[in-house]
Amino acid sequence: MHGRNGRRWLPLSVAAALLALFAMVAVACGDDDDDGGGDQTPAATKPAGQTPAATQPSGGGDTITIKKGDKIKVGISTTLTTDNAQLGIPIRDGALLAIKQKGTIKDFEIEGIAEDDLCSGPGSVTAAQKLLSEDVVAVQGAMCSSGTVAALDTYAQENVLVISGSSTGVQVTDPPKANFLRTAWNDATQGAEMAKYACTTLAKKNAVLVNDQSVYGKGLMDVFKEAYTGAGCTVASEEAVTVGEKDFSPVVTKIKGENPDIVVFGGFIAEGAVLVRQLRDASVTADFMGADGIADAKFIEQAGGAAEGAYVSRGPTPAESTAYDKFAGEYEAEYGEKAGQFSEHAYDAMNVILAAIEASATVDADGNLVIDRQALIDAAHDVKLPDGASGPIEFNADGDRVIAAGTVNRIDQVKDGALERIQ
Amino acid sequence: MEQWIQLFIDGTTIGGVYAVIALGYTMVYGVLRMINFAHGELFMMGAFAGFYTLDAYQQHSGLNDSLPVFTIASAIVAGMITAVVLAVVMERIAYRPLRHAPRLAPLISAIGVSIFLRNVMLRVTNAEAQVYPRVFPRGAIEWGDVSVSYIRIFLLVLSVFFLVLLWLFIERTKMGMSIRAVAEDRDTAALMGVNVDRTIVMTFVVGAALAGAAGAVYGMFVTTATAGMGFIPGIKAFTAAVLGGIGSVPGAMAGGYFLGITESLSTKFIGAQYKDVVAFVLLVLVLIFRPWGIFGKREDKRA
Repeated sequence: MHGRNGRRWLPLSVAAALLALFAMVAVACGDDDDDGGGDQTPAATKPAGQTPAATQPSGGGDTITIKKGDKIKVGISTTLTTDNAQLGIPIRDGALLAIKQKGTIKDFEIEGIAEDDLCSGPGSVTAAQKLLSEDVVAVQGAMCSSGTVAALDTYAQENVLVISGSSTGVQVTDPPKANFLRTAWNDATQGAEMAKYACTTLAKKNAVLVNDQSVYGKGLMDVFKEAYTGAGCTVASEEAVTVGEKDFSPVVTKIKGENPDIVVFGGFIAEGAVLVRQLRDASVTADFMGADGIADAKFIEQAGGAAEGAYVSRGPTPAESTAYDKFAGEYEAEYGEKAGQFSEHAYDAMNVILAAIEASATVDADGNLVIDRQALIDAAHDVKLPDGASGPIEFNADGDRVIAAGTVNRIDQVKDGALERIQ
Repeated sequence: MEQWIQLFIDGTTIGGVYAVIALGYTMVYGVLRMINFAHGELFMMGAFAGFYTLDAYQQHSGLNDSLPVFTIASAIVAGMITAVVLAVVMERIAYRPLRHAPRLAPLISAIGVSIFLRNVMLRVTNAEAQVYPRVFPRGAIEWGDVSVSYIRIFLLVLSVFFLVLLWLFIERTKMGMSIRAVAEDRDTAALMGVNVDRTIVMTFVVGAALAGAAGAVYGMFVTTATAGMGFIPGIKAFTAAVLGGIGSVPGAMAGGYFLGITESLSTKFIGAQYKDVVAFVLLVLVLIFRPWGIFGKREDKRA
């Protein structure tokens, strides 16, 4: 009997190991402080605008040659499965719309290749490897800050231009990466503006912060906390929810005990909608505030009435944007559905990529298209889109967007089941 | 103090859900020595079946009754039937052909089934969360700051009811006896005239019925169904089953409640962000010091 004891538990140990693996993938969005930051500056990452990077030993060289008749491949790394796909699919569609509208660059057709990045670090690295194996010229993505932070190393090794329309996390461009730009707004601005709005404008002096343990959610709440306490308001407690869970009762109970004036949430629709509903069910009457991760009609729909009165920050947005309305109309005409929260940012990101390809690619004597990777990155830094669907686009040295003078951080409130701009 | 009581009740609710799901893991492990990783997806499919049933009611006749007993019951039954049908198909297609294969093969097959079901529902729902219609009367029993909503009471009572029902089934019925016999020694049970194939299918059926019903009621409780909703309850229930001693029915029940309550209380003790850490640290500790689980027997009859 004893001799077989070890064997009897073998399948169980294997199962437990698999479980541990699953759990790690599940909470992969959760590592925040230490999953990148320090080791994000390998040799491959060069400050912007310098001479072309030396070819990496592992790499595909520093120029790409597309044979006459072939297509220019552009990658899209976004979340196509898991509950975050409801944000990710409209991102893909926004990017694909830009490609479709552009049609060709120097008579070369453009092909968008979408890969599922699972909104997680490991998923985004896998997506990066797949896209690199397809020899993409540049990539729009990754969707989530956790994923972008993790995958940028992989892209940097091949010096591939990456532009994200949705990774707003502070950590993504801190420190800056030479091959990365974003049309998403840096949460450093958004978090501080939210804090100012909550503390000063709304005069809600006592907050509970809830994050989803992602680079985005945790990072945003950290910025919020600093600005909020700096403005003289107090954070009663900081809570966290697990992505994928649906019963947040213990957290709700704790929030109820703190009796805050406002509950501020950093995370995405799936968890945000459930959280606000369970708060209201537990008769917590404090205001609810979220950010661009929930700024979507789906949040209101899934919160089933509980979202009424919630404040939603949407980043620095021009007051009136005919460019956005034009985009939204074209999107709806193309897909029969309304654009998602990040669709226009992804559309802009893809347009920057396409403009950069157009500016830097040359046709050689044989009619092949030659793209120098470093020239492409440099060209992308110089792209300016005054009529971007998400506002005028111009990049600073860190790869973040320059906030146009006079732009305020947009705050919406849910009124009668729809988002209405109040700032 | 009131907050502790509230957290305890919160934990008991989710613990009951873990316990009911965990039974499916532990029973299948008992008879087949395999972990059915697709079990969490049966829970998810149950939640969707409940959702579609309620949604159909809402669109046809509205949900205006004060306590639509029939509507709620039919949602639960729909959840059970869906999960049972899927489990039988799953067993026939994905597990039975592998019964004599190396033990890892059905495990991998189960993960495949799990991913398949999740992606089917992602496609069907376009990855959007489906919001359950409010069937259950709102309101709660209040005691100071402690508030227990009616749906929570229903979920609490129902999970205990299922546990008792299962216990009676295992201990008091002939089929229950066959399941115990196959779990003890499959070959001997076959020699004694037990129809092993039928018993194994029955084990899947019972486990799936519980998971499907739990899914539908949990859906009403959290008022949401998403394609990914089976994943975390699934791994938590698996953890509960291992904590209690996998293969042991009372172990799965106790493990479920223990895990739910520990998680909930640790929200206050240590912080919500470490809730899952607590759960998995417990699992690791149990696997190190008591791999047969809290309630399992070391010299168990399985060999």
